[in-house]
Amino acid sequence: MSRLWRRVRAAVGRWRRPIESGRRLDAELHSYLEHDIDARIAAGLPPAEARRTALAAFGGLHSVAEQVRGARAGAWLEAVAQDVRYAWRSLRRSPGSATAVAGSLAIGMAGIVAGLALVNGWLFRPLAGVVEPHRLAWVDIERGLCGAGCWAFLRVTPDDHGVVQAALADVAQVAAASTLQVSIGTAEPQSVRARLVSTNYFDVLGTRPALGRWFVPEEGEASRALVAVIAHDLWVRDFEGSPGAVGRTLKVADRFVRIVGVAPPGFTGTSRRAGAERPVLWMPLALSESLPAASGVFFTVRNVRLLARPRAGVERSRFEAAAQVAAARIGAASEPGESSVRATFSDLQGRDAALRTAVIMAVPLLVLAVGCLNAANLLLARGSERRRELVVRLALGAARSRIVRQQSIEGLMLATASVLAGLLLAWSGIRLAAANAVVETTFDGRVMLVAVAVAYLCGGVVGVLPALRATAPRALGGIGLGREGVSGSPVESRGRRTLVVVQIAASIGLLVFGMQMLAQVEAIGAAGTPGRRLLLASFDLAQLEYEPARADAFYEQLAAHVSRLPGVESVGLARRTAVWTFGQGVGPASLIVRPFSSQEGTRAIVGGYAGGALFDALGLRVVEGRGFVPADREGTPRVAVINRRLADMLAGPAVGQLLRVGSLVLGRPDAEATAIFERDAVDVRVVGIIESTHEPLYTRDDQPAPKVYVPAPLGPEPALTLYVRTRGDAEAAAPALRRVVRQIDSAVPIVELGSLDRVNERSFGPLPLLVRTAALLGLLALLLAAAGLYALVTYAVSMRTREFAVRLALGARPGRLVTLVLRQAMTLVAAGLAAGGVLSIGLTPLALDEISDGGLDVLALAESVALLVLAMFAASIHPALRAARVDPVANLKDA
Amino acid sequence: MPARRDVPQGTLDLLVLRILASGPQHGWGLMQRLGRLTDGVFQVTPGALFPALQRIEEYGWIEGTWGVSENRRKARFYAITPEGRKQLAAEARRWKAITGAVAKVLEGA
Repeated sequence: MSRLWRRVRAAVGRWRRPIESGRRLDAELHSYLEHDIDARIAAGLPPAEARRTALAAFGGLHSVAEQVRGARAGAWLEAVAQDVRYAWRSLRRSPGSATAVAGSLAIGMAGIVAGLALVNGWLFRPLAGVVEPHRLAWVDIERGLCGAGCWAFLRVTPDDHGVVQAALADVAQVAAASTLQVSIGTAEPQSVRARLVSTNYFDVLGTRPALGRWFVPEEGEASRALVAVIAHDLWVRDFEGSPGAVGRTLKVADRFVRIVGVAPPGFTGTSRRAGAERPVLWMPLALSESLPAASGVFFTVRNVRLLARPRAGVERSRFEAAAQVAAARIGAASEPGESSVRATFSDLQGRDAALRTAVIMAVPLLVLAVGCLNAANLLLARGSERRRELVVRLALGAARSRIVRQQSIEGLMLATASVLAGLLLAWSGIRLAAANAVVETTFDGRVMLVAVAVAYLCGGVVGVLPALRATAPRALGGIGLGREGVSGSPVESRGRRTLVVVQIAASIGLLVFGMQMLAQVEAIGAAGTPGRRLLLASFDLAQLEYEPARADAFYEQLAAHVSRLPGVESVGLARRTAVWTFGQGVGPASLIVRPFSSQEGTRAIVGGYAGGALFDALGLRVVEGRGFVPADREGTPRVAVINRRLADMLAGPAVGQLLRVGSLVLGRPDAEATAIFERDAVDVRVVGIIESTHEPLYTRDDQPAPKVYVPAPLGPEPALTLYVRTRGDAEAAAPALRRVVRQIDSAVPIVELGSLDRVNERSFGPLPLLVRTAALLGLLALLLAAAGLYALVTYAVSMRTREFAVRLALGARPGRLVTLVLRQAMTLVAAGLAAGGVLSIGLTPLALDEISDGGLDVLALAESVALLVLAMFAASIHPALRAARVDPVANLKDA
Repeated sequence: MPARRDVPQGTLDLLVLRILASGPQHGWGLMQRLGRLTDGVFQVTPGALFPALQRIEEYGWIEGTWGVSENRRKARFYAITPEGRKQLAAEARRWKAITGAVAKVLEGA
């Protein structure tokens, strides 16, 4: 042990005083030599002869010193340190290419880091306070609709929860939960995401309260359900973290509920959503029975989902079998005709998380691949420029392994730089996106670890390969020849050409994929006002129990005030899902429409009351007939405006047709709903047709949805959304709008406020962000590929300078040389396009199929290809022109 | 004069320790003693001696100090440490056991 310790101490000492240690060794070796010379002179040799023979016997001062250094402790480390210094110097000699290599890797790294952070936050973030989340499973009840293979989610009721719980009593604990958006009367009125849960919800999750208690079984009864558990954040923000908060009352919608507990910090139940989507309030599911009648949009108890925790030791198959029995029981109890009901299961810690990860990470991985290829390409170019240096060093006896090690260290140093730059890039990108994020990105040790590992792997590989290639015995034949002889062997340039082709193929793949996805997502709002210039502000006055007249007055005043705000162009009013349904289907904002002209019968069509200058605010032109005029607004609606899609569906000319329209009644038996329709429906005449809006990710058939609008409400409309078109950025008008609302009625909370883009982003989840990132990364990959081609063509031209000089001297026109170089560059581009194009055209529809039914967007495809060809042309034109400017005299003189 | 040979693997340390046990020496002096004691059988080059000295000093078996030689030249003198003596004794025992065993085999064969 002490021997090791001494060696370490000696090594450290030398590290601290490298020069002194070097001098001491020199002095000792010289002393030996002098003694030897003295002895030889004493033996009778002449001094000069004595010195010569002594030196010969010694065997070379440097070589002995080297051997001594080699015997020292930590000699290996010292050599590496030397290599690092060497690599640093050689990188500093060509900062341009070093920056380009590190930059290529950094872009790839940034993509990987951002992707991993997203995956980590979205799919793998631990759920705070949830015990053994991997053992939890969602149990969904589905109903067979139309024979084999056609199933739909069955609306699960709180009663169904009871049935499932009873059936599974032996094998699992089952909780129920549903989501709703609700106003709460804190100091500043706010609208928050809340969960209605069964009283055993927290037990099933295994969570302990930070303060107070969870629900008790008795609170599962409607009469005793006016209790709530609040999130830790809400407790800190609105109750100053006071223990006295438990026991206080909180106004929720029009009720007062008693706070019984505070959830632990970070607890979000089973939600991994971020920001406003994160639940902050939990109340018993039984409360839904006594809540005010749904105002149609925000306050609906929808999608009760069942969450089960199988008891310890219960096999999955037994648990699933029991759930099927429960499903069958629900099926038997429901209306006749719903013959088949089954249970399906999905793990909370999603079984599909791996698949999703693969899908999300595919794009960053491709970009990283392009970045690495680019770095390898640039390093290969450097390698051939430095071949002469390497050949000389090998000839002087440097070990090949040593040279390869030095080159790898260069690669690793570049990788280090790229990791730092990539992390910085990703971090600032994430910070930028965080304001808008619907899911949390988690930037933790795991992400860093994977990123660093990937970077060093890449850096090491791209550093070693060119070094191996440059020092390969085959490459060494050419020393002493002209410039051509030392560099640019055919094998190597074939390698580099292949790299560029692969790069082009990968970047066209990324570009096509990104542009196709972008076309799908951006199609929203493609007709009409751009999504960033349309501000949506939603309200729900039913929760405040406002009389219809008071609600109407509020909206009228609000529209008038907001339209006078600076930067506002026009203001319309309609239900939140009357224009775009944001994935909520036709339920929340629809009219029952029965055309007189066809035998089709009634159907539910999205639309309803269109107040103010709605069409103007949406930017939807009236393509036929007219829009609404003030006279239309009086009393019961007598006219309607429909969109182009509905007009196409109606038989005969649409304008002038009569339609019978009535409110959609939810949650009543069909017969009753029909009776209500017959009693309350009104006949309206179509007076105008507006453009259709696309909502391609939600419609099942890539067609715009039919819409119908009437100039006045058919009944009370307590929950409306203000559609505000602004001159500039819509979000910038939000604070002013908030002030107006407070002025008019300080008790009214804004349920949702944001640009159409942002609302879309919330309802799509992280998809639009991902798609935009994919498109951006595709562009970056394109730039990298263009840089790679530029480097290759420049290099090829410089290698062939003499050939061009000869051609010019023999009378070739410069223009022909330009075409020659361009043709060769474009051959590579064509090869890349062919390889990448076939792949992406084949694969993109598969990916698109996952998110929508839209087909391949030909325009987007053409754009991607045109962009690529243009970029590649731009990259090769400069070196090609250089070929034509070769001076024959200067280049042939020294031949 | 017998043919000159390289020092058998691992024995150089033992020889150096043995020589230093009878008094401090500098590098050249060590070399002379080595040649004399083995009747010039073992050929040790500076390229083998100095790395060995370096290593043995790092182990703590010898200690080097600068001094003045009999030629009135500056030289680094190495002296054996108590730990070096222990090591020498152990190595010598091991060496004797090995050579004894080998000799037995050779005689008995």
